[in-house]
Amino acid sequence: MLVKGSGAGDQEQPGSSPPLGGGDASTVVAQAFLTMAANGMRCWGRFVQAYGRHQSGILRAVLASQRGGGLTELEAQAIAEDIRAYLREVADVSLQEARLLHLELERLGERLASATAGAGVASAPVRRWRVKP
Amino acid sequence: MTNGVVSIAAASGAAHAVSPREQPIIAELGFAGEMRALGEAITDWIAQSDAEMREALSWQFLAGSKYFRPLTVFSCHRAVHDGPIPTTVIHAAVLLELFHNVSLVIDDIVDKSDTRRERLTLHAKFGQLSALMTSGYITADAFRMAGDDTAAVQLFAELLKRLGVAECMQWRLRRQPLGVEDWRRIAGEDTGSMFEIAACLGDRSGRLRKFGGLLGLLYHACDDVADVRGTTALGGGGYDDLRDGILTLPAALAIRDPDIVRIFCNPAASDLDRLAKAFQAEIPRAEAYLDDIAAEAEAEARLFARNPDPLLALIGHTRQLSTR
Repeated sequence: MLVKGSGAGDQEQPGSSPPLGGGDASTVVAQAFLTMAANGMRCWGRFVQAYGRHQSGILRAVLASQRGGGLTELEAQAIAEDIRAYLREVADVSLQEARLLHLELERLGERLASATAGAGVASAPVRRWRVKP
Repeated sequence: MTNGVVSIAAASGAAHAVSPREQPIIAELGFAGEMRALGEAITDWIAQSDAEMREALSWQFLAGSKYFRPLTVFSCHRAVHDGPIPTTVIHAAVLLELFHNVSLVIDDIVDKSDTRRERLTLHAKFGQLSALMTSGYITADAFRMAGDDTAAVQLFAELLKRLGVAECMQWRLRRQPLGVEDWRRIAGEDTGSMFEIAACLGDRSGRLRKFGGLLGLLYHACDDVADVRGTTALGGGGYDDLRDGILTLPAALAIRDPDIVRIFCNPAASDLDRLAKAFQAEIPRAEAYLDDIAAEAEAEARLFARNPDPLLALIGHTRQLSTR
């Protein structure tokens, strides 16, 4: 069933990435790669945890398939329920981790933008057109 | 403010009373002022409404409300932003409360409920025609009052569409041998959608949409369990769901039993008591499921809110509703 023990609470808090090294864009890119790698590994870790929670239903389905069926209607429904719950959890985990990654990368971008704002880069674009007479 | 609805003025006429059960959570969250403004806005709006509609609107709105959806709007705003709740957010909460009451009016007609919280429902008091026309009036005027807040208009449109889909789905699937995942999908589109929209109105980034959905799911589940317990905290009735073969959470758990599912799918009047007992026997498992949903919602709040405390308080308050 759910997020208890899913590992979401074990992760580093969003937005607490280490400080940029002097506004170096390549540092940001490196941090982004690390963030993406950590996110991916955490995501797979949570997939595995979800599988663990629903392992019995999945294994029963596999065994029944190998036996060529032989399940009562009730057993088949119970297995279907378990697998549906597993699929929903996996989908929820992937969405949640995608949102977390989006948040983290957005914050890295913002930190890079504010780090480079005073480095001779214009903070706001300057329009370079003239109204036609 | 927008279209003159939110007038932070001295109390005028009958103030819109907050249900006593919700006053502690309102005080805990520090939204007494916002709730007062919301109540005054609704009172002002009724006073400015067409004379033909005023009596019905007063009956529907001025009897006391849980105001839980506006509370969710304010809490989601506070969870992401510092400072006082802006009047735009209060205005959006007012409109959400209007749409919520539209859904209550329609629900009571569909469910043939003559009372809600020990008071005559709108159609029982004024007749079905008046109730239907009043709900249409509220809908139209709420969209008018949304004005040029196009994001809010989109959210309200999404809400009404999803509520319509949820009601049709729930009605079509009654007395079907479905499971907990099906219940979850229906509840998610029903109460879940309402609280998703509340979260999006509080924080327009949409970051808390999933949280809102889980809070609504929890609320819906607590409603189901409370109905089965026979309490009246959430205004509904367990026997209505039994009679109509509606898939509640305890029902979804109970109909894993082949004997119970047979009765559920084709009940005689004499079977309702047996069904009720089977559902009541599932309350411990349903409560455990409620704990799981609450844990999911808490995880969402901690991951995506800058200040999750108001959201955690909402979850705690909602979780208790199953036992009132």
